[in-house]
Amino acid sequence: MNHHGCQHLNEFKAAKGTEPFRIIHTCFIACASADARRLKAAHCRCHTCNQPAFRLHACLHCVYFGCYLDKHIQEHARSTNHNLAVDLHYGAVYCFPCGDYVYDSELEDMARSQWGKASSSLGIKERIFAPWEPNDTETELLRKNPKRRKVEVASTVGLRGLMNLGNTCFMNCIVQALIHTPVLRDYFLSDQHDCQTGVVKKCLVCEMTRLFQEFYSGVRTPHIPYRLLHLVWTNARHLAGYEQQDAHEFLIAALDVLHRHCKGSNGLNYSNPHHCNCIIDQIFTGGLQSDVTCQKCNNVSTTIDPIWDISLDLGPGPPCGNNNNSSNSSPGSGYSNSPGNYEPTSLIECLKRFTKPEHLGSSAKIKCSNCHSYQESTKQLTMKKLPIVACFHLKRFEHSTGYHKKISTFVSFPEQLDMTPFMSSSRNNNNGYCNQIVQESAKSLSCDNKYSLFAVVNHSGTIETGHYTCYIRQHKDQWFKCDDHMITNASQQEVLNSEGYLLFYHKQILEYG
Amino acid sequence: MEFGHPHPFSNSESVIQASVMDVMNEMIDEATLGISFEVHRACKLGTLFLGDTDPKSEKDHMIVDKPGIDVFGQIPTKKQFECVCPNCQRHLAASRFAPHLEKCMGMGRNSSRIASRRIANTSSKRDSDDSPEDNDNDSDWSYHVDRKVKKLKKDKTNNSPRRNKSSKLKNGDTGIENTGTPESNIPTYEQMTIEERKALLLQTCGVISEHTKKMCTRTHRCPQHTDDQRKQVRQFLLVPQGCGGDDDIQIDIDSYDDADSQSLREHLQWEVASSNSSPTDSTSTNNSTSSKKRAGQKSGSSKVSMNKKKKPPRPPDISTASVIPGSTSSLYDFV
Repeated sequence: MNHHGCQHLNEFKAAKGTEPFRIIHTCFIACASADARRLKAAHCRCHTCNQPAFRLHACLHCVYFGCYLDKHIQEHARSTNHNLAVDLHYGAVYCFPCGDYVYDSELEDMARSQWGKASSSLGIKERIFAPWEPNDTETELLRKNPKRRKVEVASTVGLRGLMNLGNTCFMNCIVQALIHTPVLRDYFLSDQHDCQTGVVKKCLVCEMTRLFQEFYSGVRTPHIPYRLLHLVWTNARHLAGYEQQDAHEFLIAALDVLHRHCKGSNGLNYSNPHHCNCIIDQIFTGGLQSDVTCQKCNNVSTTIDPIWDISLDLGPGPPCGNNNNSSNSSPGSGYSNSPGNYEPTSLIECLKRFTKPEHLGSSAKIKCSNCHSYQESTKQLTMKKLPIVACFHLKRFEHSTGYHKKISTFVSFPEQLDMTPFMSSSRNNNNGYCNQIVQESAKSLSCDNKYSLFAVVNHSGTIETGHYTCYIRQHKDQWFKCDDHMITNASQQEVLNSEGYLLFYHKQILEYG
Repeated sequence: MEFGHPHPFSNSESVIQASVMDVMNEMIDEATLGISFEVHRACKLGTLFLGDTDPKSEKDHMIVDKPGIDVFGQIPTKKQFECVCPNCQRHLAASRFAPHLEKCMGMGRNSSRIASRRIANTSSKRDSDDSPEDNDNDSDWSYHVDRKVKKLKKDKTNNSPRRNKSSKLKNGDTGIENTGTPESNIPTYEQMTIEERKALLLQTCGVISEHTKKMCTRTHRCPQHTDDQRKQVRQFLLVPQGCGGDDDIQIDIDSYDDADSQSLREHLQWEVASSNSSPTDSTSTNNSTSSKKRAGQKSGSSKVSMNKKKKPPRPPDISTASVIPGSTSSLYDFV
């Protein structure tokens, strides 16, 4: 946006140029090297009272620093008639005759590039996290069109029902969960998909972009996702057909198609298939570490596999070799001392079982790379890299030989989840997990591995026929139930008491990437 | 660093506390100042309230929390929504889109399963009765379905792929429940004499479905088909033409080029098979109308064997009909 500070600043720029501002900005505001930072720390003091005071200003005309709150910079300006000063925190220019801070686009552009250099010198990507601001044309457009669709606490913008096209509730609930994935929403609403396929009509990512626009358009009638269904059917043939499908299967297929359609848009990283940086991989891909320990020589062979979801067993676990007295009939006793020998009743227990070392018996001997012989071994799965969005799939549909059934046991899941105990780093400290670690880490201050629940997909009915509904979180603690075209309010308690089939957790803190 | 050593004047704990407080306050001050500058700048440039929601929109999009209605304040209605099939560009009811698309694209686990079962049946046991009836019905295309059609559709749901699947899970036998469904009462038009056709067409709409090759059993005022279509079908069925003998329908269909001709061919193969030995006819001895007609036609021979040995009168030769471009295209266009 073009804005020219004030008459006094323009006079100054005409006389002395922008160089004085640039020098002050480079040396004392946005330092691009360690030396400059050291200099800044040493010299940013008021020249009058010699204090490293808050709201220090530098005179643009001469070398003088003075504090604003104690009026030293004002005194300097009055006595020397130097009427412009720069704020040393953010680089705003104060004009004494105008009595206000003034903003000049030329100086701001200069400052922006300085900030970029400063952050890259600190190892942060050269990108400043500044809020969006409209340029001249955008401001004009915004003025002319005062109607707004804004995601606010009491607003329905961002919510929309989805028509059931005939047994498509499995799709609708996954779409609702994806649409309300915060990082995905930011990606699509900021229009970051640059379609390279050339055929917009065939690209599922483009269809997602349209879906987001539909959801945030403020329209209240249900959306008809017929184009999405058509695209999914053409791209994932195994899901095609008018019948009831598994929502989890659909989720994985949808992520796969999205991932494939993203590929064209990141040509640089296309060469390395394991490190795709498409938005789907950035958000959903985690690393699952598998450690196989040889029983004889204790050699550990480690592999890391990318995963999009974590599937958790619900049925009674295999009996533990060392603890036979706790039976399945008394889950209370099995609860505390032998994970794996009871039906898990919470997500944490499922995860404990998931990451528990598993003894591969004599029937499954593996050739050890160290001692070169077939040995019994133990295998343990841990999380090497946590995804931004963790999808937990509770395996409620059991397909054993001869029978199929749905496991409807209640599995409690928390609103906030700490994944620290299930990390590979935790495994290295302590082989196996005890409740103590889980409890300790829950209390600890570390938020790095903490997750918040934002969507829950539920299935009601039997293994053959049923209905999917979905709970989604729009704002913090504001939940909605999506039942195809019907969106209603829901309480957090209602969500946590629901059966749960797919659980979507979002990382609370994102690292700078 | 220096906090680690005990300070000579005071205990280190309080020094650390005070220093932490200082650093913390400074950080908060600086962050606050940053926000102040941001707001001040936006204010000066006139962009501060530019992005704010206008009061009317805010009011329009307020969340409604009342039982019985959704968050938009709407009462859930059975309102029909319409969509356009991306595959065939037809307008249809949104709630029937998935079943339509399955047929339209000729895909899906069940579709292909049924299709392969059909092929298997036609090639192997002709009079085996375990092939499910084709449940295709033109009502998919139309969303102006009246009550009567809906009722009819409901009757047919026991032929839907899903039902077949579930019944197969039960005992692996799908044939029984197919007998006695309304459509099995109507013999295929190929098997009828001109007189029979006349009689039938006096009562029913009679337009032949592109998919099922079955005649529409609704009244003359059936909303799915136009008068033109009815006219065409009458012309097609009632204009007497010499029996073409052993004409091969498939050859004619091959000349009909369409993207979906594969699925159509499957249908037709099935149709050829059923004209020889309709599975429904062979089992449904309780099927009064067709058996009566058949009995009157050829008395003495048993119904099933009759079907096998002697072919009933053929329909007008489609190959001759195809010579007239108008009539062939009308045969496939009327849906």
